[in-house]
Amino acid sequence: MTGTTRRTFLSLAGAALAGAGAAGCSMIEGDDKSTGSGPAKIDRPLNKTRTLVTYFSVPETDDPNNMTEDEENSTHVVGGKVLGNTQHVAQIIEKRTGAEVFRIETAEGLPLDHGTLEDLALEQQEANERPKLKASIPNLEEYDTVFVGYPIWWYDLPMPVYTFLEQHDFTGKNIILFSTHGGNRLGETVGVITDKLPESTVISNAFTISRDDMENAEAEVSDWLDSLG
Amino acid sequence: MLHKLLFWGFAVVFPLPLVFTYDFVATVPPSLKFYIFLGLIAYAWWLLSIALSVRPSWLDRFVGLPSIYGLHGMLGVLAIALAYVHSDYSYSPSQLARDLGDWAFYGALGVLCYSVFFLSGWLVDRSKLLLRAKGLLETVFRHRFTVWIHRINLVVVGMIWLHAHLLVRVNQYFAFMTLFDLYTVTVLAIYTWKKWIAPDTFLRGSIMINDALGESTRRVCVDLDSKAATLRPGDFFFLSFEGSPSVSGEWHPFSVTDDNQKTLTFTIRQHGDFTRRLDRVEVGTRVRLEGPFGRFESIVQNRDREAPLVLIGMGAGVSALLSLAAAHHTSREIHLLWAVRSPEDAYFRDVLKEYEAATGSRLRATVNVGRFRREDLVGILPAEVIAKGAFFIVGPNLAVLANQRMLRRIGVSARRIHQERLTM
Ligand SMILES: Cc1cc2nc3c(=O)[nH]c(=O)nc-3n(C[C@H](O)[C@H](O)[C@H](O)COP(=O)(O)OP(=O)(O)OC[C@H]3O[C@@H](n4cnc5c(N)ncnc54)[C@H](O)[C@@H]3O)c2cc1C
Ligand SMILES: Cc1cc2nc3c(=O)[nH]c(=O)nc-3n(C[C@H](O)[C@H](O)[C@H](O)COP(=O)(O)O)c2cc1C
Repeated sequence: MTGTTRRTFLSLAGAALAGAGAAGCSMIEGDDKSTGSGPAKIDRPLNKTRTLVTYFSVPETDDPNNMTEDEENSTHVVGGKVLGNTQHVAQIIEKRTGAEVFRIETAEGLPLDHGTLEDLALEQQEANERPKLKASIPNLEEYDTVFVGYPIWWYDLPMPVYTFLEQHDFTGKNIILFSTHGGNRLGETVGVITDKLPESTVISNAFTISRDDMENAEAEVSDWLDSLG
Repeated sequence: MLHKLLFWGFAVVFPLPLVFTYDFVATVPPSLKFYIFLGLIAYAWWLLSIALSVRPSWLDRFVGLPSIYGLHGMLGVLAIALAYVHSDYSYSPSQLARDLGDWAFYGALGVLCYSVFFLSGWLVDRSKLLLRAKGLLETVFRHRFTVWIHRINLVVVGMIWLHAHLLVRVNQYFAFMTLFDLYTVTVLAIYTWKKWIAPDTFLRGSIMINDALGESTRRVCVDLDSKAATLRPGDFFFLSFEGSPSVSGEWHPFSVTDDNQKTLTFTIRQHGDFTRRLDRVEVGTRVRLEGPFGRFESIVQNRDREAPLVLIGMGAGVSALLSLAAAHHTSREIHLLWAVRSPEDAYFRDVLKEYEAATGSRLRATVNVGRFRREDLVGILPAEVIAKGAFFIVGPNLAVLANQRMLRRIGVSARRIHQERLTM
């Protein structure tokens, strides 16, 4: 069963349940978009020359043909090109804002086999590792606003994103978060990042989208960007 | 009331050991924990629901079979709601675990919808149209088939069990998994015991009489091998006829019509697939009886000790009431109201006359062709009886509910109305 049908079916089933009077699903509905304690909006309009979009993303294949279910889950194909889900969201933001983009990459290549990648990610998380990055942002001082995008890995930020956050000085900057996930929304990542960057303004209105809803990404990202002011 | 509170309270407490143990041992992010809790509660409720389906006799005496099945159904609904939130908000790294979780959810949802319609009465008891639709559909979806569909829930539980065992964030905690398996194994053992071992301990007997009463009703007397020592007036049994070429061995509930612990008499209206074949069941056929079940006598004894009894029966529904009348007509004021379809169906008219004569009219019986209407009730029952009586209604669901509403309208408080519906 593809992710899309699963989610659609689940939504239908959920609606049916609500209809049958078995309410109770809505209590957590609100945490889709915003958690954390920062302001929901940025205090001035985005200036594209002083905005940077950074993201971490691991598409598990670059071949758009004959994908396994795991590969399909981790990618989104646009015009025959295979993108990671988070990468796709980053590109939409780039297109909409005209901002520069920086991709967070580990120094050592990551395994593309899903199971191996999961095991490695879990190991790194349990050992609280900080995997080395391929490069740092050379000109961070030129930006006021930094978008940070990441997939949820094991209910948390991927460890390379921890390295990234700790390796740069985001003092005084607006930080806007976006994320893609396989079920558990943002988890506690907004709170984690807000705590990690006490000298920055982390906008509470973070964006998240399920990997099963990637075909709606354009519209959802646009709405979200509009809501940021 | 207290019994029911305790009973429902138990359902609330039942998942807690699982939840607390997981909370204690697992070091996972709180948001994940929360959604795992929801999954655990749903699973525990499915298990409890299965445990309730074995309808232990002692629990029936404690809260009554309708409450048992009521909770059984409610837990099914609540568990689905929790499972939905759990499934929508959690991530499972294993594809197989995810698929199992999804299939289990769809399976449980499908079975739930099916059962709400065919088994629960939540819908069909409230609409004549739906009841007719159910009647039509049951020519294909027979009760037996429905019971098998319902058993898909066991497969659902198996899938969720495996689902949990595949998840790293769950299966790495040995103490928790042990408890999780203990819950599962205990409930499945109870279920297995009930289906395959317990029937050997049920009462058994042979059919002594099987003859016609009125137009489409039969009297079936079963001579028990040993006395039904715990039998009380108003009780019913689930009967299974063994080795009869005419009817299958499936279990059907019927009330005991008189007050005799050795020879049980059943009054059975023939209207469906199973009951219509009963006239071909031979004398001497062996019968297994699960039970007795029922709360009428304990209500008469404990709750409404002094009150006059008002017994309202529709058709064969009068049988449970007759055994109450048989037991109490010498000591209590009783008004027995019996609605029948046609004058020929009033097959107990003579028995009732005898009771009336024997009690000097302390028992008063009124037989009506067609339903009792409000003015009938007000005419038959003295004001004092309406104000103080304990009312017992037995019959088809729609008729029971209609009578209940009518009684409420003439001023009988809900607390004094007790009922048994002839479908479950
Ligand atoms: C507590 C109780 C006491 C009853 N006492 C009597 C009685 O004294 N005399 C009497 O004539 N009838 C009694 N009934 C009703 C009787 O059990 C059903 O009429 C009979 O089982 C119908 O079987 P059928 O296949 O002939 O009819 P169908 O037309 O196939 O079924 C009619 C309805 O009966 C219900 N039903 C069918 N099979 C079963 C089953 N195996 N278990 C439970 N419900 C079933 C279903 O809701 C169905 O819609 C009682 C029912 C209950 C719940
Ligand atoms: C190692 C790994 C761990 C993951 N853990 C989670 C998780 O805990 N919760 C979740 O919702 N999704 C999880 N996912 C799914 C990803 O968040 C989802 O597929 C995301 O869209 C991938 O983004 P990308 O294609 O940009 O890498 C995980 C994926 C991987 C590869």
